[in-house]
Amino acid sequence: MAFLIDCPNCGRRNPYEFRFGGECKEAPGPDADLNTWCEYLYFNENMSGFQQEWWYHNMGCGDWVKVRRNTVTHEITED
Amino acid sequence: MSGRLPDSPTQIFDPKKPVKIHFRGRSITAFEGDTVASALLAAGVDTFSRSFKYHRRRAPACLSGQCSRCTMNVDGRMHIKTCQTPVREGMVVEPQGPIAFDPAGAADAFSWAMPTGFYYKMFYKPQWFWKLVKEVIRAMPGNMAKVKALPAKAHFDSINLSPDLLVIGGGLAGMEAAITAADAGVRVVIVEADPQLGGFEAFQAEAGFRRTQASISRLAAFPNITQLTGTRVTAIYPDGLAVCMQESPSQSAQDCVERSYLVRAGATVIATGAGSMPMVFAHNDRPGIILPEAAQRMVHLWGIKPKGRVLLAGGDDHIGEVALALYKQGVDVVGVVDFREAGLRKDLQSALADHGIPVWSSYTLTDTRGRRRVTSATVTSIDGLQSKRVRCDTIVASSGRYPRHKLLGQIGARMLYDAALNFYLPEQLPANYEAAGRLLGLEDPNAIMRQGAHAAINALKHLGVDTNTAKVAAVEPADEAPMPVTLQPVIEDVQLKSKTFVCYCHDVSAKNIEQAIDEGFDKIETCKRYTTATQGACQGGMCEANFAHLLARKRPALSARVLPTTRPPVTSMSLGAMAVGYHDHPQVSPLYHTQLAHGGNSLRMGSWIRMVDFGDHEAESLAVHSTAGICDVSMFGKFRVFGPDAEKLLNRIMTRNIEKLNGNSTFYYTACNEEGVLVDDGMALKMGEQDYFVTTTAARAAVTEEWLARWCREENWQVNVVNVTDTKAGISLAGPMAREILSKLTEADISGEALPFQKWMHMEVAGVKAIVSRVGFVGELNYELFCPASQGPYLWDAIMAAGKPLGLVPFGIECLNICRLEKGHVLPGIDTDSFTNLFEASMGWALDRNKTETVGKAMLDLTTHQAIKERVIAFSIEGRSPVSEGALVVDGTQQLGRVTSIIYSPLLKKTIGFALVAPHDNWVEGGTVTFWYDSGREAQASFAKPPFYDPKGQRIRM
Repeated sequence: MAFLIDCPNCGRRNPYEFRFGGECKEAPGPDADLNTWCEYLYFNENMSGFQQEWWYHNMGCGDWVKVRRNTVTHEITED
Repeated sequence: MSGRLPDSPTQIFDPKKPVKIHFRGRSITAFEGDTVASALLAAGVDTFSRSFKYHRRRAPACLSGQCSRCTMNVDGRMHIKTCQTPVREGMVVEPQGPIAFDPAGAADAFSWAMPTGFYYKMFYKPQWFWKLVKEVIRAMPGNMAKVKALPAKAHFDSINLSPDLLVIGGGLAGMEAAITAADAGVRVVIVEADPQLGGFEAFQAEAGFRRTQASISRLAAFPNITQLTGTRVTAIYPDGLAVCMQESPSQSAQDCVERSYLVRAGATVIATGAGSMPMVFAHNDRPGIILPEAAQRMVHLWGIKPKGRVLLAGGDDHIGEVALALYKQGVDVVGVVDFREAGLRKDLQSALADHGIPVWSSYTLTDTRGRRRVTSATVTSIDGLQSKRVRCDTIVASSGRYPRHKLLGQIGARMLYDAALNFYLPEQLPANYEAAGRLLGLEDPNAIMRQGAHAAINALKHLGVDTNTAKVAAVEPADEAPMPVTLQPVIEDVQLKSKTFVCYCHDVSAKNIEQAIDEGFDKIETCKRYTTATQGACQGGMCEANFAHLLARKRPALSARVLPTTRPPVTSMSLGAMAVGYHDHPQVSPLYHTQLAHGGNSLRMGSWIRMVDFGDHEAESLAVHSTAGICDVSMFGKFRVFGPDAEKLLNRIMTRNIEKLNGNSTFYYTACNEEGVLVDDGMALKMGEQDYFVTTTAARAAVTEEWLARWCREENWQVNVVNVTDTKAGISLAGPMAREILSKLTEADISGEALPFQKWMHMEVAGVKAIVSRVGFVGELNYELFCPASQGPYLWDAIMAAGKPLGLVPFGIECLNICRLEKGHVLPGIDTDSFTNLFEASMGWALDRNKTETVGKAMLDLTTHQAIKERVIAFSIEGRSPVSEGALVVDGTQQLGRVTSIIYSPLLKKTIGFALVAPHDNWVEGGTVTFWYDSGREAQASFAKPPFYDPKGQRIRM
């Protein structure tokens, strides 16, 4: 993969050390209805461009890392 | 010395150190420093391989790892480029397929029957014909061999390097770049494909050799330069990883046959140099027709005289220089053909004339003859009017320089054709990459060195090194222009005949390419795929430029002379080298060997090797019910979860409320994902305030840490998760006699009052500190013991010794399966799938409705009153049934679901199991279930309500 992920514990690391954890999404509140939950669970933005996403550093420190990545160019920026 | 030229300073072999290798049953004496190919050439071997399609004789053309004609089987390893492989004592070298007499060589006469795309054209209809001949055709290709296991397990290894600067190419430019960077204090790795540094200059007679020696000794003075010679960079990935392969890094075959270096550098200088393009003329593939660099390497590096009379042909002054150098070494040079009108530089012309070597300017090669080896060449004036035959045994021919650009393509730099120079130059390189040297078309050694230094200075700037120094200021500017190349003029009707090869690996001729263009495949990418040119083992290293030029000639309108896309690997690499580090490591329990000694039959299941049974799983299950059994449960995931927020986190992932757990009670939990799908179950024990011992299913052991971290990733909770799966052994002791056996080994009070069902305690068993809990998995009085892994085997043996007189037997997972099905325990992931929610798994009781934060609870709450889409049902069949897991549950022709677990219980004399099915009216007591198995057989079972055994659970509470 064409980029490195900045892990707060381990520094800039190869993404093969991580497992992709999907887009960052906010879970619905306790009173949300079924539609809202299904929307949250089963639909993704599938951004073409920058998105906030989760990566799990499974071959490293074992932390979940939030990354802002361009899904087209793999460019990673600070949020 | 045997047949070699007199010693010269440029040679890289040691004539005092003979090495014996075996080739086709005979012994050949080579010398240390030889490659396999140089040893064979010195021994007079003419044919190295047969070609892919026509089985024509082939011999090395480049001797620099570009072409694939020298590939052979070396020590049992296939497709080894012998020109890159150092000789080793006792090495066994075999050609791949017959080379002396090859019956399939008849294919050469039938080339007319094999036009481009003949596979598609000839075998399209009738279809039966293809079926008839495909095996024959697939066995046909030359220089191919059946894959055989290596005689001994070959050893490969891999080394990670992370220098500041990686220099690819150890020629003048690369060495100068490495020296400049090392002088500024950064750590440098320099990679060179040849066994020695120096690159092109290393075999440019003595003048070039002296230049390289000066650089090599300067370079050697720097301790911060790592030299990797005999190593090729096969790929650069966009994240900066450069993969470098080193063939035979040590002298012992047992040691390591191929090594990869995975280099991640801060910056990279690419100085891979330039190679020669083969000349295009009819029958340009005969053994004895070589590139200038091959001739120079033979003479200067290995002291091998090219065979017999040597004819040289080309279109630059370099070919004249090579002719002179060969002449000085005593080679019989019969002439120099130059296709330029201006001809060779004046001084070269006069020097050659002095030695009586004829020079034909404005002439070109059109054809060759010869069977085992080239015997004569047809030299024709470029206007096509005059032509003569020249007798020769070796032809050194090239149509000009061509950049070794593959790695540039991989970092995303396109090669642009410069029409004035007839040379490809890279467009802007990505940051952190620099290019230098002959790769950029430079020829003057001093210019190349200056330019290498400047590439390093630019790289240092990328690295953030201060370049504002006197040393940097002292480097002379590098602004030399690339040297133009003269394109080979082509005399269409005589030079592009049917056997004018462009792609040697796949026998693609100019005629084939023309035909493909006529059929409409006139873009380089489509033409390449249709003809398979540039797609052979050399990956376009030999043919790419000629292929692009030929296409451009035929389709001037499209003539951007683009090159095909380059992808890793640049050169072939063995699967073994790629597989280094990726070994299959099945997990074994600490009790694995102990159980094997007790007669356990093991089986790979998921990541674990587990014991299926100890001979007879049905007898084992009867023993568990009548006396006692012992089983290894070490593969449960085991975790210590502690910290101020441990309870909050566990409460979030568990559907039951862990706050209700107190003292020495055991706590069965289920866990769901956000969809409410059942993902895990297990046991939690409270070891102290905010300190829990949690077990999971074996399959979830690997992901539980991630799962727990996932559910507090947005919070700043103080909680630690320690995976103790491998540090603790687990033993399940079950059966009516279990208490009696255990009481022999411990002083602790384990009476039904002191340690009742669903309670646990710390105790010493046979002197081993263990966590002992009362569980109900197998439906009998059942203790689960967790102790340090190292003491597991001892504890197992102690329990076995104590229990043997009472009828204790070891049992495996088949027996465990019988017992848990008798009790109707659903296994998440086995009896459920990734859609089965908690209700559908018939475990709705495990959901605490009053908790707010449980993962999956929101969806479970919202879907409580929805009709369920599938559910786990239990069934039973009288007697033994041939139905197995995966059988379909059907209603007439409609599929309702599938059988997830099924086994015969000798105790109940019934076959029992679970099925995951859609809702149906039959799922009531007394209803029948129809199975469809073995592709068409049907069987009936009756719907049942578990548990099948001891429904009141009295036996587990004993």
